[in-house]
Amino acid sequence: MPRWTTIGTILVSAAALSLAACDKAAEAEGTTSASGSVQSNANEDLFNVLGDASDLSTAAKLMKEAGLEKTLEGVGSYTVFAPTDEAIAALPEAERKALESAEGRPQLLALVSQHLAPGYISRKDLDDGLARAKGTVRLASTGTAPIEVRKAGNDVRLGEGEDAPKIVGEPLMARNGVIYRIDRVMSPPK
Amino acid sequence: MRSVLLLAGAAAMAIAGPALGQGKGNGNGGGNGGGNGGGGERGGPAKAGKPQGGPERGNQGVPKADRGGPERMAQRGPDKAKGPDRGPQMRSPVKEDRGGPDRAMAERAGPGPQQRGNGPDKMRGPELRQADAGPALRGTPDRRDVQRITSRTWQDGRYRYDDRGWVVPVRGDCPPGLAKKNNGCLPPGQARALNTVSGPVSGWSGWYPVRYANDGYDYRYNDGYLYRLGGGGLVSGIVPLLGGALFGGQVWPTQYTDYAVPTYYDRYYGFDDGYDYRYAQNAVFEVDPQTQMIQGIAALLTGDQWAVGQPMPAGYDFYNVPPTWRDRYVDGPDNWYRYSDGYVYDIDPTTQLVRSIIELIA
Repeated sequence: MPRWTTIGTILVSAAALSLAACDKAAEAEGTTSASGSVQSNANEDLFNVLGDASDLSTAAKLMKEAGLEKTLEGVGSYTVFAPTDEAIAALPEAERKALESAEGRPQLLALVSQHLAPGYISRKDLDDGLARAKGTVRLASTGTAPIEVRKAGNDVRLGEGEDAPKIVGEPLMARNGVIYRIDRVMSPPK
Repeated sequence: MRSVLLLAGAAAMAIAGPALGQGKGNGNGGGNGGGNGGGGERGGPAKAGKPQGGPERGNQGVPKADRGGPERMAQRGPDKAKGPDRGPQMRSPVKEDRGGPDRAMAERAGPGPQQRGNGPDKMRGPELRQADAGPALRGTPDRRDVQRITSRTWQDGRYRYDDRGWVVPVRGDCPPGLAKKNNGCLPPGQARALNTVSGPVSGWSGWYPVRYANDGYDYRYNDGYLYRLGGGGLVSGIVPLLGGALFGGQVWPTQYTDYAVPTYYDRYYGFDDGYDYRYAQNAVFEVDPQTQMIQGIAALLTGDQWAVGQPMPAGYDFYNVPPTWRDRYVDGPDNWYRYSDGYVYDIDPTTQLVRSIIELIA
């Protein structure tokens, strides 16, 4: 009997592990998981997924103007915080025009680099990390400063204060990364 | 799993060895001509063809434990047909005349500002740290295989950048009144006429000094370059900017030709296509070896510094391993795994020290 109990325990544990692994894989691939629904484009790269999102067309255009097509199509993994079209439209006109000009391209690269983090951070990873860190996590970016990710009530914001960009909607999962919509453009590092 | 980790750990026992110091004090002054057919470690074996099979890119089966040396390089197969031919005929005669990397570096190692007494900048290049190859691999021609690019560390609430080497110092040897604008001297009057970095609009137009803040210099921007002003309004250094001089369609600044990326990046990011890949400003650029024209930005990197036995860099509290590797590298009570710049790092959750560095290709 002890033997069967042991075997049973192993089987149950294996099944639990298997389920957990399936859930983790499903969540990573963007299918529905215990953590909630996510939008899956697991076979598409970040650049395509961004381009297909109707409310992120300006961000996709800026990424292209920044020359990051190959970066987002490649094997390198990134988590992208993409301002919605509305968020980018809310920038001062002069700044928007500067970013769209050839002269302003270094600034554009700085902006988009600041909105990219290394690796693949699913919503579950985000929530788990925030819970573990009691609500505030400093996230490395490819820009010149880290991103402060902060739990504020039911929202997740990038930075301090009520004006800090907020994550909106469900993340878009790509083969090589995750895209979070944000409702404002991040401020330049100080 | 344990054996795999041990293998990976043994292979990747990081030795935060001395920075190789490429570009250190590269005071090449007023333009160093062309002749930049490759970096100091270029001219080696042809780039590898990408292995086939496996998920995503077909070469991500197991973590790399045996990095191989010259023999491994010899087995890699021919260049892919996609990019331009990179045969020896492309190498610039000027580069050939330099007599190899050592000589090239020595020639470039002009006095930096500190040595000249006009600034605090040590003029260091980015650190290309050895992630350890084990004694057997050290000193092999394939040394680039075991280098990682590091350019920043989190210290006192901000990043400290090691890439001050991107500031190309300007030697004061231009004839009065002459300006080799993008490679050398600029008269004080012209320097004063350059745009201030803050520019006419607010917001993201004023970002760039962050990286070079508090280094005691004033910076001006013009035409894709940042100009560092020294004493008397003279330009004492030039920084080609990401998105400016460093962008698709621009010719690669000749001062940076030694900053070739490690061959690991060639293989991980799938760069084996006949182009040169070069690193600057935390980005990897695709460069046509014939024309030296930048084709595009192949990857953005963090430049964070990871070394075995050292604390995990700031900013990696979230689990972020790419999907392909999540089954293998799962966070648990005894191990955390974090991804950055093409590597996965094994972290001790208690001490948050880096245990091992794992390459993601065989």
